[in-house]
Amino acid sequence: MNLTEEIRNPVSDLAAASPDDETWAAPRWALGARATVLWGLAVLGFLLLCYRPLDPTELMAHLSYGDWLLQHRALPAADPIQPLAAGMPILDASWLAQAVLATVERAGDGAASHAGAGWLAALFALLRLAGAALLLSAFRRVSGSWAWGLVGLALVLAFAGGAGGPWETLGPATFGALCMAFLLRRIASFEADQQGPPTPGRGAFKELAAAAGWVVLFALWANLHVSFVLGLAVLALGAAGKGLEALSRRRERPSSAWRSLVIDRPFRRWLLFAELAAAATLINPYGIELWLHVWRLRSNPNLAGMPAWQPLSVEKAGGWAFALAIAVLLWAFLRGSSRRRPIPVAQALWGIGLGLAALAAAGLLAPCAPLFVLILLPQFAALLDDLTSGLRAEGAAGRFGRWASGARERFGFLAEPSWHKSVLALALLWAAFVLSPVGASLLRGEARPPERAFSASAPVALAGYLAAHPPRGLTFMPTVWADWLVRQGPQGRDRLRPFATTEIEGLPTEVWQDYLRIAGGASDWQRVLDRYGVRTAIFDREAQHGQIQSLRYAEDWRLAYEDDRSFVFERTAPTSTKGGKL
Amino acid sequence: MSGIATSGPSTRAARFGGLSLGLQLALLAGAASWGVWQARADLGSRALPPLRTQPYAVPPLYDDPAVVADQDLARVLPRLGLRGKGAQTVIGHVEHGLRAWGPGVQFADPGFLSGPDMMHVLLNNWRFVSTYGPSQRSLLYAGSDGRATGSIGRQDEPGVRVRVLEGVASSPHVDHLLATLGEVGTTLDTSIVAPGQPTSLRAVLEQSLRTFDLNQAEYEWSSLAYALYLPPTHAWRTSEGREMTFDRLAERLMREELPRGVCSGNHRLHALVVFLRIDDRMAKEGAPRILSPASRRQVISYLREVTAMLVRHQHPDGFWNGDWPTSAPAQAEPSGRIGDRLSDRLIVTGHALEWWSLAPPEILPPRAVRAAAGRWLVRTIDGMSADQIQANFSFLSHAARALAQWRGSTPAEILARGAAKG
Repeated sequence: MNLTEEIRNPVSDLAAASPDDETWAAPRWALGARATVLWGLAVLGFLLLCYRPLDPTELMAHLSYGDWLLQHRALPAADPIQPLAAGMPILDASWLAQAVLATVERAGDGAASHAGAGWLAALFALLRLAGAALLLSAFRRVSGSWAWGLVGLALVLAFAGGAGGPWETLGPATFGALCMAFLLRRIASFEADQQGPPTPGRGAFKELAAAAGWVVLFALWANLHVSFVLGLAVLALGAAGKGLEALSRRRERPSSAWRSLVIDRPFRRWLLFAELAAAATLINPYGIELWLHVWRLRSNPNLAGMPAWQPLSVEKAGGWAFALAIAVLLWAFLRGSSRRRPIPVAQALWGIGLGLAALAAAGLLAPCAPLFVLILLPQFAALLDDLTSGLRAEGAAGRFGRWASGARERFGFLAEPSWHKSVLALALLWAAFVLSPVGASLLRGEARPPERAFSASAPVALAGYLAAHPPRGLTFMPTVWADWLVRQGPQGRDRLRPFATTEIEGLPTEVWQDYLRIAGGASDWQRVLDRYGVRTAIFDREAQHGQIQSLRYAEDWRLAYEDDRSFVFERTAPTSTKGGKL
Repeated sequence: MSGIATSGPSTRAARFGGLSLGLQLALLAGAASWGVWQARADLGSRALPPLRTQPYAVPPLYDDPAVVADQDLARVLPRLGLRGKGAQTVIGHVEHGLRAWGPGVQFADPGFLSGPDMMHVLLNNWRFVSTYGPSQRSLLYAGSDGRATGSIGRQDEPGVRVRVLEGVASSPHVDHLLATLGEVGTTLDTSIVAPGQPTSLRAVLEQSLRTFDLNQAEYEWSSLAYALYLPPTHAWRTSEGREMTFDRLAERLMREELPRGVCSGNHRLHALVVFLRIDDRMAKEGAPRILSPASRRQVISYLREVTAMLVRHQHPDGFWNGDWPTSAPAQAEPSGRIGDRLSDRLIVTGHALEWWSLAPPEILPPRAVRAAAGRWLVRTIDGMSADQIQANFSFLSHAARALAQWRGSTPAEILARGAAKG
């Protein structure tokens, strides 16, 4: 099925329309076999994802901020978690996502004790499935088949693999990934509409609705996650590409450059949508300061050392996938093919612009991966089509085709839309609800313990100890544990005062550098602990053996707790002179 | 296509489209200008705060002969001048000498550095070079530290920095020179001669403000200098964008365990006392206080706790050593242990008596405690040779200031009074 056919029959696979549509008994909502199978797979995927332990790193920090937002019904003017960030400017760019996460967790905890984690897992599953469905649909649109759509999804995961990001963890980036999927789905439809014949009845109202769609999408995105700038870049580069295409057509239709742009409808539409999107992102509590915040992130010295901000390396799985994709693309071009479609200028600009960005900062690969796949997929499809044309000529495809048509004749009745399948889909939906953590908490009052709800990286036992023995004063601990311990450790007035959490962009540079000195065991790490007046120090048994051994024998520290992963030391009263120089 | 260009409705559509496109481009330009304006406004908020040309003076509050009698003071103080040693003169001693004696002091003994001498060595590179030789790296030097001050990539404007902890010809501590000059009343328009850059003291303070970080290792003198030169400004932004307040500085001064910090933590206490005094002065002048009520209460409570520690751990002879927060000295004679040497005892006793002389009454120890400390200092100085005094000059300069301040005066005034009496 080619692209135009797809556009003309956009829902042909899901619900076959019939002349009896107007009667209540007509199978308007009757599902076909393919839709039922897809639905079943989605339910299965939902349940699998629901019971996948959540990674607590960063999620806990966002939940803490979300709790603060819900409690105070205001945006924080200062970092509410990290005492050493006092006075630093703060811009909570993900406030909406944090509030949603905290609300879902509260709702879960309200349904049954400790069920919040299960509800978050269900939210994660829904977000990922929705994102995958949107991407699948977008990829199908550009490639012309469901199979290639699935290949596209696999490629997205391959690109994102090793780079972490929204496909691995729950957080504001997950919402950002969903927004990116929405954007690509709309772009795929938009491009298809432009390539296809004019749609009858598409009037000003529909144009207005489309514009409103962009506004809503970007207004939400800007309040959910900073990745909205990638979306803006996609639209801006798209408009630039359309503009270049319009200018290139001057050879065919001589006119002034300005006039060429003015009369080019695709360019004007893309530009308008880009402008609407940009304006929509200003609908946030910080206004244009949000843009400046994103601009400043690139020069934040605390982030410069993080793996996500390092150049893309082939040592990572995502880097390998990226390099392989580029190699295949180049090969396809050099080899030449009659089926290969020219890459539109806009897509070339996306590939070059965001590709270079991802090369410079590996963390951009995951959020940009769907876009890269959108560009590459039609080329890969054409290349494979070209390569397999010989096989088809030899009859391999013919044998498969005969087998497939035979199967269709024998089992075709199963593929017909029917109410039975719709009922089955409803039953699957009910099963998904009952079997999910949400259903378990609402119907049976059950909740999974934290050890099972979260991945093994969560220091559950340590949190229990700290809750029973609240540390005094500033507490040093690995940032990957800090988020968890702040939420699961002592609460109220005894709440932990961490040296640093994973929200490092808001920390003063010197504090972050000093954190690294202590965590990395620099020669003066104990003096740094003294300088900050750290009263309790928590170290990772595996990664910080040197620090643990030093404090074991230090006269002003005592070992308060240890388990198979962590050591907790408490400072004793000073017993000797350490200063004294004038 | 040429038909489109020439036909009436199409031409009108093209004109409308052109107008619309032009309007959109104008809006885009407007948005970009808005962004740039906002970025500049943000940078503007990180501009240096207004500075006082004349620093606040923090005069002593008491005149108590129980701490030191007139005749003891007249006998002890003239011995505590700094003897010039040419290229071996320790800049740290010069700074301490200036702080104790002020910029106008003149000694009868020509071997002692006068106030103007000390000022010249510290603030005039020509004099510095003539003292230490041309191969010595200058005490003052120009230039930025290259730290970006904003997201648009603006670099620091050139300021004047003070070389620190690079041998005898460098300052002993970060911003020690700046605070010393502030404490002796040096105005910010005072001329200084850095290599190739005649400028004023203002350039040194501005550079300090640009590079200050709340968590830097030495912060006591920066805090002190800011308290003397910034109020009534009580909040400003660092080049990193962090809001800085005297509350925050006070919290930092109280953060570390005692006796950690330079001079067994006493400079932290001294800076806190100066904060309280400036805060009082602001209230008296009707200006906004530099400390919030909560922070002020916390500082007073902290200093009272510290005073209680000192009272508990005073040796019967009147002195303390480096273990002052936890225990009293075990014996009357100093030992060789770090923290219990004579110099350690001089440091803690001299400094404590010094900041108490400036502290509000609610922080003071019982009179007997400070009197015993004063008597111990006088006895000890009396027993020291001229060479021992020079070797311990920096520590004794605090003792000199402390003793004079407990008589409601300064060492230079007492010296001048003695000279007038003949």
